[in-house]
Order: sequence, then structure tokens, then C-alpha cells
Amino acid sequence: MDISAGVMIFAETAEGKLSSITKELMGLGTRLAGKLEKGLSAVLLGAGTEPLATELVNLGADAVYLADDAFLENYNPEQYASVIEHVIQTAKPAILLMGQTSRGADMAPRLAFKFRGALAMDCVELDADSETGLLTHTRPVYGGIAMARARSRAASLQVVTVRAKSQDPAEPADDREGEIIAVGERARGEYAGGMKFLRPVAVEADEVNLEEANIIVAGGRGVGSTENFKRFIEGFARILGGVPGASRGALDSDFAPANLQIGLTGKIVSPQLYVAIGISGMVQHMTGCSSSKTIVGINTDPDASIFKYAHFGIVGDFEQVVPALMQKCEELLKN
Amino acid sequence: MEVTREIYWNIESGKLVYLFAVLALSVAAFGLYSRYLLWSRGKPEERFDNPPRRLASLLAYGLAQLRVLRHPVAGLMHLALFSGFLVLLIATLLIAVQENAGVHFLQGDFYLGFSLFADVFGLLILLGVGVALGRRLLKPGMLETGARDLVVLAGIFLIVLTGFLTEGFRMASPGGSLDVERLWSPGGNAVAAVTRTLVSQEEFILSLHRYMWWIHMFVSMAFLGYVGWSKLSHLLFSPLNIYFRSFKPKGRLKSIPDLESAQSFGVERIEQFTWKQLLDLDACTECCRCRHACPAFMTDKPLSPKEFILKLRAEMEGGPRPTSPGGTATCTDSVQSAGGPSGPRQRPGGPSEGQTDGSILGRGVVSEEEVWECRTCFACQEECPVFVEHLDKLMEFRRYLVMTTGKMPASAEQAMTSLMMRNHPWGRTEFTRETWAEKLGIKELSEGDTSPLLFWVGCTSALVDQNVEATESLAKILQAAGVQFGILGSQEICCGDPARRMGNDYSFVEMARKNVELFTRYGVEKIVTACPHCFNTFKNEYSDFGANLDVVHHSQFIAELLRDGRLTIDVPLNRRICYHDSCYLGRYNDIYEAPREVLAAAGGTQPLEMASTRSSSFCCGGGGGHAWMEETGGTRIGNVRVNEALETGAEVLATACPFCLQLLRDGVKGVGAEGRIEVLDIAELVQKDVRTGEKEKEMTPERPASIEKTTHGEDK
Amino acid sequence: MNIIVCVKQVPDPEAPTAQFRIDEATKRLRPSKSVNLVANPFDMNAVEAAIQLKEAVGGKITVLSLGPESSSDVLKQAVAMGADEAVRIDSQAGESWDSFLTAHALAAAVRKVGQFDLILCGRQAADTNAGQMGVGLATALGISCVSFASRVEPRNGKIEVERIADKGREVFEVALPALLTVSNEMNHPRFPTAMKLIAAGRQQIPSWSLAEIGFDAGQLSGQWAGIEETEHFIPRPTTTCEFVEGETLEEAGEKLALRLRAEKVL
Repeated sequence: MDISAGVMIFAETAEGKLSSITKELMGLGTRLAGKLEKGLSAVLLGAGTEPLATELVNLGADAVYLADDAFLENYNPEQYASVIEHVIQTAKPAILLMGQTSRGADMAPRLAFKFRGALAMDCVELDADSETGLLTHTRPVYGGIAMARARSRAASLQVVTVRAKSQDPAEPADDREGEIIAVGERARGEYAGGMKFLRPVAVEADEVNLEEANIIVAGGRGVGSTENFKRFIEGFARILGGVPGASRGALDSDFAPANLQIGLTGKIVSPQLYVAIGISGMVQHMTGCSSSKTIVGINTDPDASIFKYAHFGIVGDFEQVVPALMQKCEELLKN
Repeated sequence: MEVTREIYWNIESGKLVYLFAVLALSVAAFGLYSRYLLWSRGKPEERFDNPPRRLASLLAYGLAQLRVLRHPVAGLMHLALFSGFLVLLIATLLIAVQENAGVHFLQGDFYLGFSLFADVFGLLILLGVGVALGRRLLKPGMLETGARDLVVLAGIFLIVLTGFLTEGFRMASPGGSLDVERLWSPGGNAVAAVTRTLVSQEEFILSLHRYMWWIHMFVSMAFLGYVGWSKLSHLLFSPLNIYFRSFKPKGRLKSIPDLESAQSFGVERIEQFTWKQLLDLDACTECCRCRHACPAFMTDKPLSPKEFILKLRAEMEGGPRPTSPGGTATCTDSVQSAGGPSGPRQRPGGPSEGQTDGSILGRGVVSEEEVWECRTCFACQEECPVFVEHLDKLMEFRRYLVMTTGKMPASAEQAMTSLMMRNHPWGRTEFTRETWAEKLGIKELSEGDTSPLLFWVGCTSALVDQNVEATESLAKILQAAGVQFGILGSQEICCGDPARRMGNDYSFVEMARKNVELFTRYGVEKIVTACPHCFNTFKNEYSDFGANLDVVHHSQFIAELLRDGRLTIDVPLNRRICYHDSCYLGRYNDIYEAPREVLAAAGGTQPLEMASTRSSSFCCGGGGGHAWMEETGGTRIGNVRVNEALETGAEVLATACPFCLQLLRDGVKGVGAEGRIEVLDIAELVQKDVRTGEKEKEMTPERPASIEKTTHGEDK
Repeated sequence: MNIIVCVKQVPDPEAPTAQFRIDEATKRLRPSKSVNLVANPFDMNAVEAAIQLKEAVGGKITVLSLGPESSSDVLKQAVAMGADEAVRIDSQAGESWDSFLTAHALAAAVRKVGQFDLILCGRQAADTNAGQMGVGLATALGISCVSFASRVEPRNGKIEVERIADKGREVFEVALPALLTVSNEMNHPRFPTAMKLIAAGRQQIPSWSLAEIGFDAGQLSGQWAGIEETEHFIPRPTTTCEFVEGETLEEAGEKLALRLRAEKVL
């Protein structure tokens, strides 16, 4: 397949593995490349990343541009950009797909501005016109109140970032073939820029990061006890891979520690999924979470204001609802 | 021989009493004058207007002690001490007059009456001291008792005791009194009787009398001197403070005169208070009544109105000032430097103007925490027997924090930012000011419209989920009664009360000006609103901005509709309702009857009363900006109030204020009383009746329901 | 340290969602008249960061905004918080601005301001949500850029910047001049004191025309690809609650899990 004028994805790794967004990008890339009848390539940067190149081939890459070099172990945006620029100039893709991640969202505008291409960030839907090669994309605007549909004006480099969990991931197959192209010393060049990576900082694991959480399970006074909070709120959050949160009511009743408070004087959060259990939905609380993408409310009172904000609701005793919900979610997530 | 009082009987050199009196008065006067110098550091303030009204108030609250008597036991105790001392002072003065004026009037029946009168009031004082001591010893939580308090009580006791002993010894002495005088002097006579049984030597009794006379004189004079240097100074300061009390409407906060050009706001240093605000500090008698009325103090928050005043008093006295050279500045130091014509006071090593570390708040004399804990419920001032004005002072600190330093609690700041950004304090809400009106098909006023009556909805009533129903109810009531009214809808902005009560007078003034402009544009003459806070601000504070409006609270408006028969309630609810007085409606504006009248009609019987009611009502916890601030520490105020409501056995807790509605509903959840008691606005209750009426009509069509009747009558 | 902050006025992101409707004629989202125009929240984090840097090392803060007359309000807000100067670049009605044009116009304005050590922008605007402009401006000016900055401290003529990574944070040393896009984690924008509010309220915010900054959109046309928006749409009524029911509450719980899966929430 012809890599030139094809689709390229920016592969990211996490803890020595391809990150889940990368698999989604491969899935999307495969679909778009098929439409354009062009090749799909990936660019993979980092130190000790070589073994992952084969994996990208297995996921459908016709070519993998591999820059496996100690100087890429840590993220220096300028050095990363210069390597990717070099790859782009070599491979000449028409479309560059990146994740809406810390690095993807940082890199995309640098490259798009550099190449004076088309740029769309945080896309949740993407398609390509097989004739013109122009992308159409859908992305949230106004904090998610609305979605915007747009299309590229030219088929030269089109850079997009893709929101996590918006695409079906590519399925690996062992029998695929692809070329692994090592990006040589030339790409490294002499870095004379003004940025120097100093150190990574870990955000303590036990310090719950509510603001950045994708999934929050929050409990209110209706939860009834500290034991219930631990079992149902923290337990459910663990199953979903999210973090626990709490309303003022839960704090006042000493069910939850203060750093979990969401609301007027607590944290302002906007996760993808917000599960409110035993929370009535007072404005002061909802101020802190009403911009969540999906809100689930579980409350015994059908008139509780939480249901005015919730997208999904169950009226009933959480002690009956939540165990079944937790079990089913666990099942679903295992698959 | 006619009964009379022989002056200096058995006493030599008795005239020395005048020397000691002059000495004692000088000592007292010097003490009082040094306090006067402290207040005179304050800024000027006009409190000399309307002397007749001031005198009348002095008679009522100073002489008749009406405020003190709000609490019967303490009140009567104090009245006994006060009236006793007044009578004995007059008696002593009369004796002096008799001696020096050469008029003999203390004789015959008049003298007998005089003697009885003095004896009875002397005994009253002894009784009063007993009660006072009992209160202090038996209920230690109510008052704080220190050595100074016991010294004062002991002094009072000793004066009266030595007085009775002197009188008794005289009566026990040969030739000291006539039998008839003894009959009219029960106290002295009792002492004399006991003396006679114990002591038989006449000479000894005579010398006892001599010694006791001098002791009585010394104790009295010492006490007199002590007046200037102790809490006894309230004998003078309390009446002064009552005389100079504020007559401005309770709900009007002081405006900042030169807002646009001021370089700092509020109070940073003690001299920035006015002389009257400083006099307040000395007038406090530490009776603790404010504390026990304070919703913050009573729910274990870090605020006590009394301590607040006392801390400022210590500051006025020149309390510890770490920035002063050579350690602690003394009281006289600061007085002298203040009195000197040396221009701006130097504070070597201390911060200059504009810096905050030297401020009262910066040094932690008063903490930011306590300044923010206040609900501005006015209970402290309503209780204070000597009319100390806590609130104006506290507000000065909020103004300093917010306007000069920009510091405030995060939740207050969110509300304030929202006010500046979107003209309402509620931050994110799913409602607009038109949401409810669109539902009812009510159009907002637009260019060219005129509406003499404006239904002012208010931010909370329009934008907060649980308040909207009450708003709709009120609108339906107005429609049902055929009332012609206009609403401002999307043009309405906050009345400014939250900004002002949170110390941001700048925003308040901006909003007030904009609103007055709107009122003028639509020819508004009268405003009806369901929010006591908006009501108070329009009624009492908007006159500063040229608004001359007739402002009516919805409780008054509905009561009038009911009285006029434009609205009738055929089928009362028949639920047990108790009514919670909103601070800004009741205490601030003395509206107690109208909501009760409405509830009596809606509920079918007089509403139940909670333990704290009317002017003693206990705040819901939401005043003074606390509707937007999180309540931390202690018990939730709303919970306390709901528990009080539950004690009445009521099924409905009725409110006439959107904040009370919210916070009491939270309180119901807080104490887990869901299902037992329901919090509803009076308008909702009236509207429920109307609905009940409609149902009734469906079942028995021949009976016209109230809402139909009124609608047909007046509405096209 | 001379700092330039770029700010933008946006429709109030806290306004009720029901107040945003699709205009059928233009197919664009249109906020109702009840929605106020406010400062983009992240931009205020940038202003606050600039003030804190100035408090630490001194310097001057200039705030720029490309927008219509109403944008002056945002600039006044920045001045009230503590910025020294503010200039509005008149966006001229009719011009269709995308992040490429905006970045180049701001680059021209920055050059007119002259000397600077640091440029601060908010990480993204609350209306477009794009988060391209800051990085784009840095690219246009050819200076270093750290996006999603959560902490910045001056260090011997350079700055130490922490940025938000997918896991944890990354710390960089950056030579000046540089540009940072500031995330809300960095600080809490201060509430202006009344004195400064009054002073800022009186101030006339100067404005520069595009010609004055030497920017000509025509010159740039055809030099970049860009995208064109075709329509806005509202994905679904966010306030309708789908009540999940079942024979038993346990069954309802299981059904809910399946619904969340179907909606790709899980």
C-alpha cells in the first residue's frame, strides 16, 4: 500500500505498552485508509519501544516509523515535534491522527501550524470522502452543549486529535505484514532549543484526582454509613476504574473525607460518567458536577432534583440496586 | 417631738463626707474621662438629631428598662438593683439637701414614708444581689463570672448592708430614733432588735454606730470612685448609648460616602470607627444576651457577638500591639498620641497605609472567620439592652476584607464573581429568570410599557429549583385575584443585598443604580416581592439612590387580597402549620402579623408558634450571604430550627423567604424528618388551598371554588 | 519579567444549557439574550499567573484580546486584577476568524507590543474548546511553548514549568522568551479589590486596528488548509432522565449497566 497521501497515526505508550487510544487510532486509521485506498502508517517515539512496532503492524500498520532512542525517553515537545516533522516530510501522509491526550493535544497544533494544514481537536466522529480525501469531523463545542460538524478545506496535511473511547479499537492479527522503518540519527539532529525536561512528578496514587477523573462514583447522605460508602461508593469506583466522590451531606455525616467533596466549595468536576448515589441533587452540589458528560442518579425519591440533571436514573433503594449494577459492570468490563 | 433625721447624729467631723465625695467623684470622673478620650478618637457621626425622640427612648429603655425586662428573672433582678440604687441615691442626696439648703422637709409623715421607701428598696437590692449571685453560681454557662463581677456584687451588698447596720445601730442607741420611726424602718428596726438582744452596753452600741457610719461612708465612696474604672461605668455609658442609639431603619447599612474616590474601605484601625461605634464598645455590660441569641454562637461556630465587642474594646484600650516600640502601648499612650495635633499617627516598624499586616484583622484581633460567620440576623442587636450596634462594625470588617484586600471565603467569592459576571449569585443554574414565566405565559415588560405594580421575582425565586414553585404560586395568586402586574424577566438583576451583606458595597451600588433606572423606565410605583432580602433593600436602602417606592412583601400583599375579599379560601388545608419568622421580614421590618394572617386563612386556624418566635426568632442560617457559603463546624443552624418546629407538632413549616425555604428544607433532611414535616412558602400554601378548592369543585360542581370566582370577577 | 497575556470573551460557560439553541438559518449554536459574555475562565488563570510572576520578580503585564468592542470588559477585568496595560485588537465584523488567523493576528500584535519574556494564554476557550491558539501563536512567533501548564516559577532568568501529563506531571526548564498555555490547576484567579475595580471601570481600553498591527488576512489566504464548520447540533436533550426500570431493583441495576455499555459510557 502507498503510504504517501495515506493515513498516519501517532502511537503513544503507557507503562511499556501501546495505550488504549493508540488501538482506537489504529481502528479508525484502518477505516479511513480503506476509504482513501491508501496505506496506514504509524509513528512511534520513545526509548525501548521497538517491540511495540510489531504490535502496530499486527494492528494493521503498513509501515511503522520507529524512533527508539534514549533521548526520547522523556517528553520534550520540541524534540518530539522535530522527529515527527521529519517523518511527515518523509512519509507525506494526508491525514495524521493523534489522541486527545496530553501529548497528542500538545503535538497536533504544533504540527498543523508548522505544515499549515487543517486541524480539528477532540473529535468524536470522523469520516473521509473517498474522492476528495477530505475529512469530515464532529467535535464538541461550548463545553459539550453542542457538537460541531466540520470538514477540511484542503487535503494536504489534515491533523486531528481523537477523544479517548470514541472509536472501536483495532483487532490484532498475527499474519499482517508491514515495514518497520527506523528513523535514523538524522532525525535527531542537534537540539538547540530552549526546553529541557527536568523530571516527571508522580501524582500520588492515594490522592484522588477528582478534577481529572473520567469516572466518578459519588455518594451522599443517603448512603447511610461509612461502611456503605466504602463498600458501594469506593467499591463501585474501583470496578469502573474511577474515583470516589462525595456530596456535602456525606461529609457532614462523616461518611467520607473532605478531599472527596464535590460542589460549591468542593471540587468542580466534569467526568465522562458521574454516578450519584444517595445524592438529592441540591444546586450547591450540582454546581460541582452538572457538566459531567453522563450523569446517573440512584435515589429513593422520584422527585429528587438529581433526576433533573441525570441522563439515567433508577428510583429505589441503592442497597438493592447498586450490588447488581456493580456485578454487571464488572462482567461487562472484563470482556 | 416630731420625727426627723438628725444629721451627723453621734458623728464628729461628719462634714468630711463631702471631702471624700469630691475625691471619689474625681476618681470616677477621671476614669470616665479617659474612656471619653478613647471614643473621641473616632470619626464624627451625627447622633444629636431629634432630642425629644432620644429622650423618650432613654426613658423607655434607660429608666423603664424595657429591653432588660425581655428576660423576666434577670430583668427584674436588674430592675431591683437599679431602682434600689436610684432610690437610695436620691434619699442620700435629699439628706444632703436638707443639711445644706437649710430647709427642713425630712420630718413628720414625709420622713416616715421616706424612711420606709429607702428601707424597702434597700431590701430589694439585697434580694437582687442574691438573685444575681444565684444566677452566676447556679447557671455558670449563661454568664462569664470573673473576680471583677464578684467585687461589684460584693460592693453593692456591702453598701446596703453597712447602711442597714448603721441605721440599725442608730436605732438601737439611746436617743437615736423615735419608736414611730422604727416602725417605718423595717430593715433598720430588725438590725436594732438583734443588736439589743446581743449587746447591752449602750456606749458600745454608740461606738458601733460611729464606726459603721464611717465604714458605710468609705465603702460607698470607694464604690463611687470605682464606677469610673469598672463595668459600673455602664451606669453612665448605658444611658448615653441608649440616648445616642441609631434611629435609622434597622435594615439599612451605612453607605460609604466617597465610594468612588476612597483609597481603602471598611475598618483597618480602631480610629476608623465613629465615636458612637467606639462608645458602643464601652457600653457593653457583658450581659451575654447577644451571644445566646446568636445563631452562630449557639451552634458552636467561632463567633460570639459579645467577644467581638470586647475584643474591639481591648483594641481601643490599646491592647497588645506587637508593632509598637518598647512592647505594649498603654492606654494613655494611645490617647495622648491620638490627641496630639501631629497628623497621621506614626507606627514605627509597623505597616504604612494600604498594607494589611497592621490591621485589626491582619493582627488577628478579630478573626476573618468570625467576621464571616455572622448571618446578619440582627438578633444580637434586638437583644442588647443598651443598643450596642454589632452589625455595622462587623460589616466594616467585611468591607475591608472584600473591597480593600479582595479576600473572602471561596464560596463567597464564587457568589460574588457570579454577581459580577451574570448579575445573580447562583453560579451555574439550569434556569433563567424567564423559565417560570414562560411556563405561565407571562411576558416581561419591554420598551414603552408602563407598570405601576412590579412583581419583583428575585434571583433565588427565579433561578433555584426548589424556589420556583413558590414563585409560580405567587404569580397564580396574583392572576387569580386579577392583579395587574409586570415582571422584568431577563432584564431583572440582583437587588444587591448579597453583595452588600458580603461586604461588596461597590457591586451593591452598581446594581442599585441599574435597578432604579429600570424602575424609572417602566414607571414602577409599587413593588411586591416574596424575598424579604430584596424587600428590605428596596424599602430601606434604595432611597439613597433616588427610589421612592411603595415596597410590599408578598405576605402583606396576600393578606390584603384576603382582607379585601379579592382572594378567598373556601377549603382550608386543615394541617398543623407553624410559622418561621424570617429575620429580614420580622426583626428587620417588624412584619409579624401579615404572614400569620395569611396562614390563619390558609390553614383554617392560627399557626403554631415555635419556642423562638417573632422578634426572638432563630435564623435559618442563610442570611448575610450564607445562602451561598457552606456551613462548616458545629451544628447546622437549619437543623436546630427544624427541631424547634418539630417540637410544636406541626406538619408544615411555613416560610415567607426563599432562603429560609432552602435552608429549612436542608434542615429537614439534616435531622432526618422527611415525611414528618414539609417546608413550604406561604404562597404555596395559599395556592394549595386554591387547588384543593378546584378538586372540591370537580366533585361537587354546584359549589364555586375560590379561584374561579375571583378570576371571573376581575380577569378578562 | 515582561508578560503578555492573551484573553478572550466567551458566552458564559455556566449559563443554563437550555439557553443555547441552534439557529435554524445558520445551523450554528446561538446563546439566548440571557447568556452573558464573560472572560474565558482559563484566560483568567493566565492573568492570575502573570500577576503572581510579577509579584515575585517584578515587570509589566500587558493583556491583549482580539475581539469586538465588548471584549473591553474582559480586559478591564484583567486590569482590575492587576495587569498594567490592556489593548483590544479590533476583530472587525465580518472577518471569519479561525485559530490560524487569530494566532497570526495576535503574533502581529505581540510584535507591536515589542519586548516580552513570556506569553500566557488559557489552555482552551470555553466556546470552541479547541486549545490550538496558544501553541499556534508560539509556533507563529517561533518561541518555545509548554501547554497545559500547572505551575510556573522563575529560575535564574529561565522558568521552571510543570505541565499536566496523562499520568502525573512533567517538569521542564524553559529559556525565555516562551509561551505557556495555563490550566486551571495552576491557580485561583483573585477577586479584584474595589479600588482597582473602580479604577479599571474608569479606564478607556485602547484599541488597535488590524492595519495598525500590520495584519492582513488577505495575505495569508490560501497559505493554510484549515477547516470549515458546516453545522452545530445539540446531541440530545441533556436534562431528560431515562428511568431504568425492572421487575426488581436488582434487575433495574443490571439493565442500567447494559444501557451504559450501549451508550459507550462504559
